[in-house]
Amino acid sequence: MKRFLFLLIGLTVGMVLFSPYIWIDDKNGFDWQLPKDVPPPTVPANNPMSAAKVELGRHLFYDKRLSANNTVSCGSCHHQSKGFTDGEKGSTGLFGDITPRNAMSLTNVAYNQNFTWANPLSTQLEHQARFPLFGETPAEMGLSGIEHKSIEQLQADSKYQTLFKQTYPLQKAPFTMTNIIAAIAAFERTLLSFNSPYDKYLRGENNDFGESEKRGLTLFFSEQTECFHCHGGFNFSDSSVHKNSTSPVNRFHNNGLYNIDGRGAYPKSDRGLYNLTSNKDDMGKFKAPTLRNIAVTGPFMHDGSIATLEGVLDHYINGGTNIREGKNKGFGSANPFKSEFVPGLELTVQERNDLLSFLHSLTDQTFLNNPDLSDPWVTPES
Amino acid sequence: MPTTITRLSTPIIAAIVLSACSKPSPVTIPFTLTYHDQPVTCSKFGTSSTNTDNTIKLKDFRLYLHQIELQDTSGDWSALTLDSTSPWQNNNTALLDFENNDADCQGTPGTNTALTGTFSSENFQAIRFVVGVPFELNHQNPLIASAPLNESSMHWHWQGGYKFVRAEFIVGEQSRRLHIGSTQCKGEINAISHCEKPNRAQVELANYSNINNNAPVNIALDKLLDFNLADSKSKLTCMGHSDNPWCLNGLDWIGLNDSKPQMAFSTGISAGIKVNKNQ
Ligand code: HEC
Ligand code: HEC
Repeated sequence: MKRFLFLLIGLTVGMVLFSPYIWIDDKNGFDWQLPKDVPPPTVPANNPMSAAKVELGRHLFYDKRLSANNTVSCGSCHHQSKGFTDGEKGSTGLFGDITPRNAMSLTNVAYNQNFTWANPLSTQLEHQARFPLFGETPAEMGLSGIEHKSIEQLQADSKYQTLFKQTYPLQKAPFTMTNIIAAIAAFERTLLSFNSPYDKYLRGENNDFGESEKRGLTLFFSEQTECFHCHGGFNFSDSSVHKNSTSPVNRFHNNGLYNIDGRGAYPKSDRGLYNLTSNKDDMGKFKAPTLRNIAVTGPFMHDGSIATLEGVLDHYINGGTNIREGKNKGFGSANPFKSEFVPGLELTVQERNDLLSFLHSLTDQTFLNNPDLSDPWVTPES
Repeated sequence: MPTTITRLSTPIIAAIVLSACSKPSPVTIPFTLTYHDQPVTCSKFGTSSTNTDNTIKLKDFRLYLHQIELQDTSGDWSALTLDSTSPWQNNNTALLDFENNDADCQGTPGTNTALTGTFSSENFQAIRFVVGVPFELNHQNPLIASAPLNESSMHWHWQGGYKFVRAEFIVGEQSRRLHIGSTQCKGEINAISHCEKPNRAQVELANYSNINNNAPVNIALDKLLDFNLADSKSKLTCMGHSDNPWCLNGLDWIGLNDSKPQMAFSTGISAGIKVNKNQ
């Protein structure tokens, strides 16, 4: 079954790989195109990968007919060139309403053990896709109660007749929401990014990983900055797991973004994990997202409240965000629910620059430009 | 051996005797939706005296009921066996739907405003039911569920459970929504193990009798909507959290406040309704 010995990339630099693309799923021959040292993500037993399904999913991911007024697709808020974010603080749904949260990066999303900024219940991409499709506060794609209209439109397209038949050859009536979501999830599982200068450096390949990046890497994984506690591991997120991870735990943290009443309150519009649990200790707790491609996924944080990476570093240097004016006024750095690993940092100008260089070295141009992940509905002429 | 036979045959004989004397009789329980005693529909919300300038509009009103029981004339409660051939009912849960997607409404085309089924005796004198979907059915995937639980707009996808009540209105320029369902759940979507706040309201209406032919159970919106919104900043979307006034009022209204009787349901003919109305 397991043809390879899996190795975890952490700080261990110096694993030299000779043949980077050799991951083939034994069961159905699906080629993950992953570097040898990266184990594939887990896949739910009822939604096995196939090349046909991924191609169908790519078409659906970028298809605006999956919104009630044919104006919004998943791709409207998740742009490949921006690491599958949209560059906005909040995203715009089909009726013009703005989402309270910042569109998340879908880089290596298959490895996440829970989905969205703070929802431990949502453990599969197949669950998550239902939120934008059917969600109503605010409506993003607006299909709640009327998904059949969308499905009818797809069914009338000969392109989909072929794609669905290829993907679900044994089903008499493959045009179902469940099949649509399964294919989108399969496509999302191919949004794999392990070819940044940092990755190449780890693999001993030609790279742009210079001295400043190296110092930044060391700083990132040091007790001096503590970044790795939450953004550690192969995907720079403690909420990422892979096939060989042992007993995953859901992790959410308060990193001191707000403190409105001096007792730790986040704005009522979004209190993170607390929204779901009503447990006061969960105030302001969010998932630590992957930092891969972070240089292209701003603005940052769950509400897009920090515009630049420099701003993010200042946030951590100050041990939180301190807001002196306006309705969100308060010392985030003194938030009682804040993690002990965000204590405030002493960094020299050079150290700050080195950390920035390192974060920039996580940008994977191959991923951001991979034609297999691009919008198939865009004709070359247009 | 003989003892076994006797033990086995007693319930069988009892069953035969019972079924012989009380044949299940068909029952229909109609429901109405009102605001200050005037019917509420997608195109009409009360009269000019109760709804000045027609400022209130219905957008959506749907709810699930289950564990529906009637009390026979000897005081015993037993199930109203739902007719599960109806697309609005399975054998223990029913969806009531007061909006037809017309006029001011935004929902689904059909309506369903009655429960249909059979009851073990001919006459009954009271009704009780639980608002919501039973736990065993509540956390399934609505995209593969069977009717009436296959309605994607009656599901809280991110919480992994159904909206037991979906009540939406426009009041003036404001949109007011009340969605009630189980919250503070644990586990995973499609496999929720427990919810700290199940939010299933139990309703019992005395003096609900079939002698008064087909009298409806009424759902009155008065106490839900005549709610002082002086605090205009309070959020008018309630997703089952009890931390805003509109939400608290909605939870009280449906009967989820242990210290207050429900204010939504009444039987137009009973004394019980007066008690509720005079709260
Ligand atoms: C209107 C903009 C919008 C649309 C359309 C949209 N998304 Fe998103 N996406 C977001 C936002 C905002 C978030 C963060 C949501 C939250 O945390 O509640 C998000 C989060 C996600 C996540 C979670 C990533 C993680 O690491 O947890 C995934 C996966 C995702 N979206 C996939 C999709 C898919 C698939 C579609 C189409 C079916 C889609 N999105 C459509 C805006 C959008
Ligand atoms: C205690 C855990 C923790 C530590 C330590 C930590 N982070 Fe974070 N980080 C988070 C969480 C949680 C978020 C999201 C917070 C939110 O949106 O409210 C986040 C967000 C970010 C973001 C924005 C991500 C995005 O997609 O918007 C960046 C960049 C980031 N952190 C970098 C760092 C760096 C650099 C360090 C070290 C100096 C660090 N973090 C230390 C938990 C942590």
